[in-house]
Amino acid sequence: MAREVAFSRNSLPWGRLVLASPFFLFIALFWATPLFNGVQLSLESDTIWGASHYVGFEHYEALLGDGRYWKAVSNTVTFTVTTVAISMGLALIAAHALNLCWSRIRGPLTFAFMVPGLCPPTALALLFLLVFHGKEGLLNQWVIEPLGFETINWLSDPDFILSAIVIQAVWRWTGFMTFFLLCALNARPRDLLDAAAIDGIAPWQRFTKITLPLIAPTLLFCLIYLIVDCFAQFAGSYVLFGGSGGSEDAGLLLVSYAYQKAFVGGGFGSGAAVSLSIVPWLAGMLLLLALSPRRFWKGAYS
Amino acid sequence: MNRERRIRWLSTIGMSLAAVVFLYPLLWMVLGSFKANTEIFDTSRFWPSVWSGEYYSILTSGEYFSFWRSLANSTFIALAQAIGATAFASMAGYALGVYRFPGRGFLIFLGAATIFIPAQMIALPLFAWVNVLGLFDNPLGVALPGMVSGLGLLFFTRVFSQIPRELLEVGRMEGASEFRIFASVLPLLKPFLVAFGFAHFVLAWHAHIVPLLILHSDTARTLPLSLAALYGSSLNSPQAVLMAGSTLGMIPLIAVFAFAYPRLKTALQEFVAQ
Repeated sequence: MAREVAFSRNSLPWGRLVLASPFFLFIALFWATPLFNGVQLSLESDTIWGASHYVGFEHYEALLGDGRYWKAVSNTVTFTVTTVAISMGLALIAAHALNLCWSRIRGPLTFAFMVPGLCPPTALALLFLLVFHGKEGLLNQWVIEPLGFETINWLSDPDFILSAIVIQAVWRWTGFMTFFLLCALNARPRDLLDAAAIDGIAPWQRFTKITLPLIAPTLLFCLIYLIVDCFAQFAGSYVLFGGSGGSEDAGLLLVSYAYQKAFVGGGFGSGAAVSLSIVPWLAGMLLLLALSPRRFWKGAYS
Repeated sequence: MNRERRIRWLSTIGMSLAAVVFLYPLLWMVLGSFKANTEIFDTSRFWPSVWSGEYYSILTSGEYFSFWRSLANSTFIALAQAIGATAFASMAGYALGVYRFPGRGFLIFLGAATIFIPAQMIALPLFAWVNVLGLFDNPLGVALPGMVSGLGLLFFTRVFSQIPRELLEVGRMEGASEFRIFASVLPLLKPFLVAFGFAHFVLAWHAHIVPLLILHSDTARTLPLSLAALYGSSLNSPQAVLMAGSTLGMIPLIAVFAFAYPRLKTALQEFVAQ
């Protein structure tokens, strides 16, 4: 005992500090510093040549009255909510179905679903450009026309541009989410499930009362991951619309708007203001998760 | 018994069909890399009329961009980020997972904050700052900032907090240094290290806005950037060249993934079960 106390007093704290320091040094250098600079930049005028001057919250005030900004906000929120809902719904179904599959083929199938997630977003967008391409694209020729609908010009019809980005994101992420959920499903204690089945509890009840609380932490992780990724979405729309918002700004997302302001419009200050204004929106989305009943997410530990 | 078998067959067939739908666009891309422009949009034609590697040789000849150079840049950036992020996050995760000390909560909060304010959102000031550091147009300017991973910190803090204390006590009794104790438990955590390193590798490979701002010259660009530039600049180039580039660009990722997959699965199942 005495030995341990002496030990922890002399050498331990230093070892600990040395181990933790590179990580926090990098955070300070490559995250906190740019963040701080960004806040400063957003309070300065959009001067391209010469020295800029302090303008206070002018850029933020301008955003409040900027119709394009609100369009970008509503697009980003719609895109995020739809993508998360569709992709998590599909992933929950797919994970259960994979669990019921013939076990030899389960691994390869899961692997196959994850491959689209390995496709770089830029390549993916190029690919989807061809799938969605005007009237000749695959989607029109194989799905829309045979169903008797009029062909949709996916990338220039403002009503469909956002759906094109949603489909792309769903295709990309559903496999990974399925994989996470499948791991969580496999980690459920077998005896608990068997006991419930023997007691004659209906499958739907077993799902809501036993499975859902058990996989809740994984579900929460997936939701956070997807929401953050959707908010930071840039590559997909950048390739599809070359950094613009597509016709009538129907595909304008917040990160691409910040890019436009800074590099197309030449206003670094207002671009930084757009970037930073994403933080409260994202925090709001995540707060919605925090407001959901606490007991639900913690169910697994009780 | 009969009902159970029926369910098994139904879900096997259903999921196999779904997998075909999921992979179809990719298969189409691979086949498209052999097709002329007129054939690509002809949906009645599944196989290319002539199998020729013409578009692959155009791609690698450097007529549009230096393919091998871009591939090397991507590989260097993604590997450096994966190794750096795994090393830093596991070291910090050890310190925060094993010990309780004042300020620990704040450090974990700081790590979580980098998840909620990702690099894409501070891309502009990050770009300006990288310029100040003299790393503009240098792959290091993308690789170094990418070594920060809040997700990694939270992941490894949890992993290390589950390590049996007796294991660490043994080293301590022998008077080993903190780093030695940390290094001695690493072999036990191999699946976790590989799983995280792989996930970070994929994210780094896919990053777009930060490399787009920092890397300007053809020789510094990553593969996704070069492909996007090729698409944007020359709409008249054969589409097959783009598809050939995307196909070749996916091979390293699929290879790494196939290697990491079993470990990824063990790590996640253990992590979730803890």
